[in-house]
Amino acid sequence: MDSTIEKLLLQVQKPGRYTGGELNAVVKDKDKVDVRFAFCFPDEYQIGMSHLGMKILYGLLNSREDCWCERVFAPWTDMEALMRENGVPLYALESLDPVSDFDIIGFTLQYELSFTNILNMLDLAGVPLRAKDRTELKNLVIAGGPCACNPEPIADFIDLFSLGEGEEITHEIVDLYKQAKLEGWSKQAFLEKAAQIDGVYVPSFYEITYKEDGTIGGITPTHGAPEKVTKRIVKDLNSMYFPEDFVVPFIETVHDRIMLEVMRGCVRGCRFCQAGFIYRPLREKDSALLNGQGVALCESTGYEEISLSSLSTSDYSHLEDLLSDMLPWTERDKVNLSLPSLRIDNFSPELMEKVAKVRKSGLTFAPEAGTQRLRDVINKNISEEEIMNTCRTAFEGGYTSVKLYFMLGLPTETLEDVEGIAETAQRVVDLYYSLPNRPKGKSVSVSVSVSSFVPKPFTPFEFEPQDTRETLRQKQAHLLASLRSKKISLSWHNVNVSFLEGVLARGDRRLCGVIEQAWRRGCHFDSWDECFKIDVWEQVMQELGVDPAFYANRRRSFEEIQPWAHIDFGVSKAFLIRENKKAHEGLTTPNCRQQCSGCAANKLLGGACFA
Amino acid sequence: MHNVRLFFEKKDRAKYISHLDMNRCFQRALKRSKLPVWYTQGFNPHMYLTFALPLSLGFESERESVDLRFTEELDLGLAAKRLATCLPAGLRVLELAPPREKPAAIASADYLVIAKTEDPADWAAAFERFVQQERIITQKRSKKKGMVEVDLKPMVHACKVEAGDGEVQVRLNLPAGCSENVNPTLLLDAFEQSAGVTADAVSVLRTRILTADGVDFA
Repeated sequence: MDSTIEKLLLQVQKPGRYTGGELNAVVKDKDKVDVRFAFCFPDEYQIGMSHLGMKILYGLLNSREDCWCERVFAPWTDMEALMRENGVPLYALESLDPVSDFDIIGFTLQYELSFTNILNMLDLAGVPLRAKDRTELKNLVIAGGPCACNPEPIADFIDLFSLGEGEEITHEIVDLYKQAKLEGWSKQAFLEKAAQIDGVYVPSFYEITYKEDGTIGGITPTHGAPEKVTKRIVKDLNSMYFPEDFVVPFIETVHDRIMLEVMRGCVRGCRFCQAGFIYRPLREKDSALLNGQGVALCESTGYEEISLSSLSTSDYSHLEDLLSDMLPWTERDKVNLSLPSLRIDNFSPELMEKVAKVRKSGLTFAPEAGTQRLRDVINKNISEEEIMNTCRTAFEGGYTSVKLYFMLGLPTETLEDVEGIAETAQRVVDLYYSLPNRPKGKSVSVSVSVSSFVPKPFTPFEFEPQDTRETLRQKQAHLLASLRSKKISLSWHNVNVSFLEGVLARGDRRLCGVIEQAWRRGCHFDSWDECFKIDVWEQVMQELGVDPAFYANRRRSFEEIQPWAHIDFGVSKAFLIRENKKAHEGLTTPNCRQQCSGCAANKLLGGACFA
Repeated sequence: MHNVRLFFEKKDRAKYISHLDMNRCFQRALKRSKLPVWYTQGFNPHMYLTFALPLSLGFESERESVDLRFTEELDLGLAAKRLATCLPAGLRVLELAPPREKPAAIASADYLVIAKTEDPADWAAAFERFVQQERIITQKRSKKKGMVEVDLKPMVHACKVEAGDGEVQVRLNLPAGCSENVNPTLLLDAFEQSAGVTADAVSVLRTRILTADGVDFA
């Protein structure tokens, strides 16, 4: 190992995350590949190594003989300080080579609060932050992932964004890059060609004008770039690339297990949920194929747990088949099966029995809102009765602890809705003690976790003002005062964090300067309490004359040009407006399987979603 | 149920795998090997793995051991070969054998300490003076009493110092095991503090684990 890096390792927490050399890590001869790709996750190793998308693209890029993809994570603050002190640049874990040696530096954008980490990582790598200051083709900085649906707040730092699912477009970008490198194109020539790839967005090719009131006046493409860039999807998940092995970390990560993605997209249409819209249309994977991939991954990794992941796993139409296929061998080989993201309204006793066969842990449900009225507003189509029935099934099946997720600050929310959260939790406690066949001699525990609602692009609530921090704090206090039982525990999110997330989520290019300044004054790892500095952010915004309320707390008219107006993620604006109006009327929309509500995402499939 | 002892080497990048992570690492390697490992019976079945003598994070070792159980009798040579293909780089299977002694029989360990320094002769001389003192007093953290004063002198069973080119090699034998255990770092830290000498880099390699009779733990 490199002795300068090694010297630092025994002085930091968990050095196992900085050494590489894990099982199934891919090592190639750098002289025998055409393109070196640094896949950067802008958060610490334990978070990044839990991310399925990175595992897929890592495997996919390394399946090419002409490309070597390596992993890069944000070093934790102790390691970063030592690296800066000793002049050790950011390096990739497979070769331990500096990131500045790489052709393509790709970031995945999983949450807005990781934006400052991107700047920090570029800086640690010695790569200029702003796209215009990087004049060579080498060190091309690209980004993709869910937050690329509104790429504007980081538009000045990124050369190109890859919109939507990466399995096909990443190959196309690497192919073009390879040609450009071998033929000696300029960076500009490469970007002009790249902008013609479906789903590639080159922000420097768009001119933005602003009106006097600060809203956007127009977005004009230049250099022949398309007027609208539409996200990419993989039409058929069954023929899509999926890795046969995962890198198995030495240190424990957040999701330290095999993840099998049973489907993409969600049929539900909960109006607050960005993922529910930006991953449309729904596509499912064949259960026999999934079972085979599960077997193969167990053999190649030795993992003791498989999670069946998706946005709403109990909506996967072949779940019973898949569980029937998987239970015999997972039980035999002592592999735990976990099913996150179950919905309350289709959690059958049969399903619970199958899940409980493997391991019994706590149950988590997300009613999201405390009253039926508000659940109708957000289109969370579940009833109080369903919540109680599910809890009854769970308690009678031996569970004694239930976790309930709610949100505060949803559009139209009143204090009555807030009290409804406390009442719902209380009724769950009362239900437990009313059951004659509850687990004997055990007390019940109901954990209520409330986050603060953040309006996001490409949702029916993208027009809504976010509750101010004062309002959110009042609602939190009101909720706390409404709780009566010691069996209920309450936790909530820091409102400052939700506020900054709200600013960045619907921000425009004028925030690039804010993000850079905040980073220069020490902001990074903003999603970590111990690193989050709201006072610095507020001060920077004030100094730069940026009003955060303009982005977070303002109602936007349906006619306003949103900063992401030139980006198409499938769902049409007309649909979002229809859904917004229905929300304010308290009307629900049936799920996609019951009735198509014309969101327009099916155009990506070239036909109906459910043929 | 058949008890076996796996001997392995831990080197290079693998030295950064902590003791806790070693457990998980071996569980996964054993799972990949598909060898018939015995699981504890109960609510939460898991592999029964016992490392005889934990190795500090950052130390390398030529011979470590972990005890496990198989559900059936196996050709241990073949089983070792199979397991060898399942371990990550830096961990190498040496041997799979029936255990001879209990881990409690471990009494001491040999270490090779290599200190990189520009002035090996100075460092070596200072270290010699340090270990030849009548008493080597230092502070040691005890679980029950907090920081306590200890004399390391009687615990340094053997010590051979050799200055080379740009480095000093120190061969130590120190008490190890459950009754008395001295980590070489304790001695090295005490040396740096009292002599005021620091090396550019210090690496520690455990070369042997020994019983009270002075033979290899097996």
